[in-house]
Amino acid sequence: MVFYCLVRNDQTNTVHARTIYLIEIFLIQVFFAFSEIIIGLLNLRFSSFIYYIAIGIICSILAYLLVNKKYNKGRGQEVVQKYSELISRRKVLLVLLGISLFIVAFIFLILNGMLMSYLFSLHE
Amino acid sequence: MHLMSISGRTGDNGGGGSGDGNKLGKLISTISIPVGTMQTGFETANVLKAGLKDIAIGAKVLGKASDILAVASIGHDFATGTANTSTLLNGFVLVGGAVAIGVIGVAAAPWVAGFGVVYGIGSLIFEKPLNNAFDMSGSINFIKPSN
Repeated sequence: MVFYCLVRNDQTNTVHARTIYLIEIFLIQVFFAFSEIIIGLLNLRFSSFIYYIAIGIICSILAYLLVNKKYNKGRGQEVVQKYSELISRRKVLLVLLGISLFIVAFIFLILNGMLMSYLFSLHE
Repeated sequence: MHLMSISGRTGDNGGGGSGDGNKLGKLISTISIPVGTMQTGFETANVLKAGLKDIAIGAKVLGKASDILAVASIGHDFATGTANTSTLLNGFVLVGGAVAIGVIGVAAAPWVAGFGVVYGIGSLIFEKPLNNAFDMSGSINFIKPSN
């Protein structure tokens, strides 16, 4: 619902597709943040950028599988129904919550990067 | 096959009329529109819908690629001890672009791509001055740079 409120209706019937896309973008960041902890714990020091892209692609596939399992067509209709019942003030609150979620996910990603760096330093 | 065509005589005024009729027929058949060229509204809408779907898929791929590159570059910089202000800014711009496509719609995709190109060229010039001006590598890296 939070992500659905974020998406602007541009009259192209892509609102649900873009909601799924935003959830995937959010999940990729969260999954990669957890991957950083695992990389740090296992002390897997990849010097090549390609390995990190590969991890990002794996996170993307995981996010795709998870979202497509949870957010099917029936769920989409349920969200539309709930959205139509919301008052405008609550919609604004949900939009702000959605933006905050993305900012928090980005900060979480950076903090986990620092944690990974710290975990690497313990092995030096 | 043509939408409009004239065959035979258009006017019969003795022997001379048949030649004019043939000329007129040829002229009209030359400038006539072949059947299938003009499409009805429904067919046109279907064609546009398919085009829009392609653009939407392209925008999604662009956004996801941008997000994967952002997280990978952040991970790489922290793992090699080279993270700095430019790392955070690059990640913010890439993730921001990906989110903008989702929020605004496929119409934002060309703008995001254009901004990405301009930012990429700009970062080649301004990355070092930015890192020198706001150097935070000492506080966010716990390991020494490996490359």
